[in-house]
Amino acid sequence: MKRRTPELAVAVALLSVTAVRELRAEPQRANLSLGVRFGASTAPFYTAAFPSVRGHGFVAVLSGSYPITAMDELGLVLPGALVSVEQPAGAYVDEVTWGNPTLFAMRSQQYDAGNGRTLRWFGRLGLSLPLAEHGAPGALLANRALAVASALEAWRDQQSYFPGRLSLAPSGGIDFSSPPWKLEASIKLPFLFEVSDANLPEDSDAHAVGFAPVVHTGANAQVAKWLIPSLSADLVINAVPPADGARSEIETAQLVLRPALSFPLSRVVVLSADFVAPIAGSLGGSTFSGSMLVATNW
Amino acid sequence: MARGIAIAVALSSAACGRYWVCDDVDEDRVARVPQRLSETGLFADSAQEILAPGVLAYAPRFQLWSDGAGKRRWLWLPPGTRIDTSDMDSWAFPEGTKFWKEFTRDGVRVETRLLEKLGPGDDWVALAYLWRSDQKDADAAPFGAIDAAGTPHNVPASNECPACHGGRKSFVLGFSAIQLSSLPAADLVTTAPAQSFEVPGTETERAALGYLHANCSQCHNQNRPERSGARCFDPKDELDFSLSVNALGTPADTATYRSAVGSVIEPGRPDESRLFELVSDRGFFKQMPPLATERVDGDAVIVLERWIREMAPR
Repeated sequence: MKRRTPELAVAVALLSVTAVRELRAEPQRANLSLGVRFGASTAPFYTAAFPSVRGHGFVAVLSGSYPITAMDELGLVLPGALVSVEQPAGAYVDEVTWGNPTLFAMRSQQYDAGNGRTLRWFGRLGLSLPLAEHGAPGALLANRALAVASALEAWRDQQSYFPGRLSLAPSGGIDFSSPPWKLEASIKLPFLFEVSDANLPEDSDAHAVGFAPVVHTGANAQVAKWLIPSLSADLVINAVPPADGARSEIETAQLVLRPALSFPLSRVVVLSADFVAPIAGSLGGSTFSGSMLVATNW
Repeated sequence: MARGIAIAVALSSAACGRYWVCDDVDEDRVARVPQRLSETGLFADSAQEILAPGVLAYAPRFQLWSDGAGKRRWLWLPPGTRIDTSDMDSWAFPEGTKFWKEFTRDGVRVETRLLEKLGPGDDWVALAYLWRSDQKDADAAPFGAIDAAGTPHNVPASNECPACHGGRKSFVLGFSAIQLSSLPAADLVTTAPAQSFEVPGTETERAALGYLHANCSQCHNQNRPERSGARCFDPKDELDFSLSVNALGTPADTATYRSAVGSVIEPGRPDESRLFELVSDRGFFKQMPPLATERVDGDAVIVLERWIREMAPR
């Protein structure tokens, strides 16, 4: 039996050599996915009246991309949330609100590493537009609902859920595939520029420029034609959170574990389910969510 | 795991009557009353200590548990008006009536709530005022506040008030024939009862029935008024923990015994009684009352445990 070198070491080595062969460009496909995440969270909030927000509900993310060259694609991400926001005495109010839509451009390339192995890199630039709703001054209901939505995503996409912020998020990563295994690593560097106060009162401590990078690693294995279990870990670093809490502390590091199962239903349709569990940090123990996602390409 | 199950139950029940979801705050409505407590007519002095003329202090016999907060209550009736007491279980208050309830923590005033009847029928508005740090005035807080003034006390949003008060025709909870040990002066009511009404039973039975009346019956009663629009905290009416002046002969005559004993109360077995389980716990979807409390009422748990244990098995 052929001895296998540890996959990650191979991936790193492949990056440093030029012997890998660029795969012949295949025509890329348009992608469309709809993910619905559901869960409950108690998350820090930013005002003196509401140092925290508790809620449960759904976050829906519609995402699509279209290839413009063999290596490049343009895409759009539309997030929305339906969240029951807890009121101070314990009643709930339903709030339906949009997040910030994101336009993105992505370039990727895949290399043949021999023996069926491939290495792929990607670079991506996302521009999130500050279209998320705020909620009326004082109530900030939409704002609070989006804080819950962002927490359900374990703060991995803060640029999608923080109202009043125009965001640029460059990101890049690699993945290495050696069937049935696949390893991936990426980093995202979102900068959130304050373009409005989102109706937050003066007692909240908003930052003109927020910066919350996300380091992602993951692995999956196709154990059957129809089943791909995976485990990934994200480290969210709230280097400069978009806003500090007036009476609550937002911890700098937030670790997130995400086990998932993917079910390739056909060559063009994949159904996935995951569970997001923030570990320690500000969200650890107070936030849980799961999601279902269906993706297709053509 | 328990929390996960609770969440799953909460989410799955989304499709079948989400009693805990209320309307959003009606900002136009709360704007119809003063935005500072000092303008509501409660106090006569700038220090907010001396009651204004005509303001009457009162205290109910059975109190709503508010996580140990200290409370004071006052009433003001427009001059020349009377409370319509022809229905002794549901007094009707004249337009212009104001009730206040003050909450203190460690001797510091945190909030004062106003209940004002603006027009005929059930035209009440409810609003909380959050005390300033210098204690010289309090400002309207229609959306409430969490851990107000650095205490564990949460100030309710105005849309939460009808969740309890809306369960009574009179909209008023702690000022009634059952709740007052000394009835209002004859010139304040249309029909003066000959004597105050006494809750039947032993000391334990009276305490338990009174606790359930004050803490549970605002939602769990079979005479909830019909209301239009979205409703919240409007449970099915199998249970009734209210005390009625017409059903005070023996404990068995009360709605609590008739509706709850044998269903959520297992005589002689507090540990198997759903009511006792919920009152003894706190947490998402596993506590009663579901509103305005994050701490178990230890005294009530003792009373209810003793009451159920001493109850003769059926």
